[in-house]
Amino acid sequence: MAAKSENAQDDVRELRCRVLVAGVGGAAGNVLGHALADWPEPPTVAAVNTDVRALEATAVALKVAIGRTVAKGMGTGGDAELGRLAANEDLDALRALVAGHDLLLLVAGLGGGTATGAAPVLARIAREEGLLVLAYVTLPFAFEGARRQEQAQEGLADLKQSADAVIGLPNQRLHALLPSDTSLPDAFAFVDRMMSAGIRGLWTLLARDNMLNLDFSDLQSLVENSGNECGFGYGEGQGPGKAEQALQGLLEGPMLEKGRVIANSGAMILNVAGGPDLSLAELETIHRRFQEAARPGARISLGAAVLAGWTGRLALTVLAAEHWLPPARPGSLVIPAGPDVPADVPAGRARKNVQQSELQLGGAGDRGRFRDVAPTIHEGADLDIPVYIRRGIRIPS
Amino acid sequence: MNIEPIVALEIGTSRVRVFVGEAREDGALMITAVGDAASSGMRKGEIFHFDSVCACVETALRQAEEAADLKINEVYLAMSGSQIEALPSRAEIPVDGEITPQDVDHVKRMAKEVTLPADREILHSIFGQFAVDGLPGVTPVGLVGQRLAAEMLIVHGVHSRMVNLVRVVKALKLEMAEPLFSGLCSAQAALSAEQKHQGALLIDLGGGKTDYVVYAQAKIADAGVIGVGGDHVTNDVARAFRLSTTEAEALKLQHGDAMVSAAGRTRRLPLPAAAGEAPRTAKLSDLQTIVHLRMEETFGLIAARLKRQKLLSLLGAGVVLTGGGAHLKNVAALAEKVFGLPCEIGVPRNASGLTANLAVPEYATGVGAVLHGYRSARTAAEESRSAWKKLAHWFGVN
Repeated sequence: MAAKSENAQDDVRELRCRVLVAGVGGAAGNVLGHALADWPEPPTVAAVNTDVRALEATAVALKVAIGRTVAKGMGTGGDAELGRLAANEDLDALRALVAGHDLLLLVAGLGGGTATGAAPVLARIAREEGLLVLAYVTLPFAFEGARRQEQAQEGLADLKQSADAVIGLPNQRLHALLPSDTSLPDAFAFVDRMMSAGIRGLWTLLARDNMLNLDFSDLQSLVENSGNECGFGYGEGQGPGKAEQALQGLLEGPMLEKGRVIANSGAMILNVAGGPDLSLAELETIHRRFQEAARPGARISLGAAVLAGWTGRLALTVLAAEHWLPPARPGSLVIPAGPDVPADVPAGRARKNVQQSELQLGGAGDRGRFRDVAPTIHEGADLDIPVYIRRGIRIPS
Repeated sequence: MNIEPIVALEIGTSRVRVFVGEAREDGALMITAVGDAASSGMRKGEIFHFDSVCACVETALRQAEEAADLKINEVYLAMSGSQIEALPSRAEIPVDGEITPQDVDHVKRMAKEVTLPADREILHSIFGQFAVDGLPGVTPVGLVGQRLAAEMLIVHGVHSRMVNLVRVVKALKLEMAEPLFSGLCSAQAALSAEQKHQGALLIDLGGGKTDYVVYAQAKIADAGVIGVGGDHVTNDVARAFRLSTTEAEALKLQHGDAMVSAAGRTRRLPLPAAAGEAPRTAKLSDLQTIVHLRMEETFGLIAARLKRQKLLSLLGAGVVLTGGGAHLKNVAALAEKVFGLPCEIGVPRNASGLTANLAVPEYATGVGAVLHGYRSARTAAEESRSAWKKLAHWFGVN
């Protein structure tokens, strides 16, 4: 099932949180292939696809072919409806896949037919089976066309309904970070690298034999009260200044918008992975730096894991809920206005449909005066976010 | 016929307004008093902070009471937000020979019975038309046919949100005459009979939301709310130029423009700067772009919906804009561009005695609500009179 255990303590931890990483669609299969390439103790990793040949080509061991009748073992040709039908054809197989796990980390490149159509179905099935579902998705580059973008937005909206939290990584945003002469294969490879680093970071955060106790309940509490908005960051460092390097990469890097996500966050989970040489001073520094960067009173949960063979190396993983709200806020009258939210849910849960993640164009910080009321969602877009931001228009020009 | 003064209450996101209308000697309606107070505690046409809303409503009520020299006991409530939507509904029954008034009642009742999600409630059931044996637009009583159909438009919203608005009325110890969809009220006030007949789209640009009502083929064909309003424009401006909401609102009111102009690219506007901060400016064209994109999107959402329903080609009288947002520079020009139809700014009509300062687009909803109240009160008065006649007749026969 989950990672191979080396001692009894690992077994205990694995009982607490059995993680399944599942990639839906061709792009996710690629990403997982990358992620697995140098993964010493991988979790259970599965690839779900309609395309049998693509499944055969992936390095992932556990392969689930869906939609043999509707897709006939081929791709969906970019048709999300076909992807959805394919998943619905094999609900039992999907149910069997997720059974016995506590957490599903669902990876998908939204925009493609299988990913967009089938990922929300898998998320729904997993939640029905009692798993906490964290979706980690990419959105297409602008040059991939409006249709793909639209389809991706629809998939994202569906996923927000069916997953507990969605971490979105718009390719277009990464695009801005790449030199303008980057070749197309390099651009996609870069996205894959960012995704695989993220997956591994999340996995480390959850499943390792952690020196400092950070477990499933921490994640659950964060995700459930995040209003489905999680920012995600991963940074690495090597050599003597490794903690500083990792911190810099994370707090000044693009994934957390130069620390802006941290500055706005009410609660975050922070995991440090290092070798046997990981020092208490390093942990203290990291904790302090995040405390300084975060807003006053923010809840910071810190975990640390020691990995064999990681001497001289350190990795930081952050999952930040920008709109963390205590589950109950009696006395305050908040009228949720989201299209699918029952009116009587407390504020903390009322934000089910909020545009996800600070990593996207138009994060929650752009909601301004609407940040405390439920969003106006239209076909997956959060209309409260300025149009010019959603369209990526630079102001001042 | 003696009709009590009609009072309409409109609880908006930026203003709370009370309108008092009285019947003149000649039967026409005259608006005799207006209460108009700033609103707080509202977002997107819905209540965000109950007590603030109550306080604002009370202020507007007192103003109107003083101006009209009247104690207000009962109000027509114009409401929006609440994800109000419209659902076309149709029922058909077999008839045997000549169609009776009972058949008509029956088919109308059936058309009103729609299944809505549990959290939703009907706000209006608007009658559209009858059809006898597939021939639409007929007056069925007395005709002979085999099948009688009725078409209606069911306007519904999220129950809990609508109830919250009604709770304000209750909290202020007022009676509710009738809850009304504010978009329909605006259409009532701003559209002429001719425009309704030719087909028209009314868009009410509010502070927190945008209502729309479509008249096509001489009936109401669609209605709804988009949870985007003038506040969104302000928020966009505030976000772009790092201004407070108040500063952004002022900038929008003074220089906001729904179209981007060539001159805007060279003109710079001074921005308010904090003490000690270097003076800042913004390009006018940037402001225009922000406003243009937001308004274009909002109109575009409505246009897309109407296009899907094949209603866009039925709007012979074009687009009429009401609400405070109709004051935005070039907003009609933008609407013409998006819808490909002529567009005008609508002001309350159909009510006499309005002084010039009342003939503004933002008063369409309130005046429309009074008009509606006035008409239903008059109908009720007539009906009770005719019911009395009937009763007297019966007694006479016995």
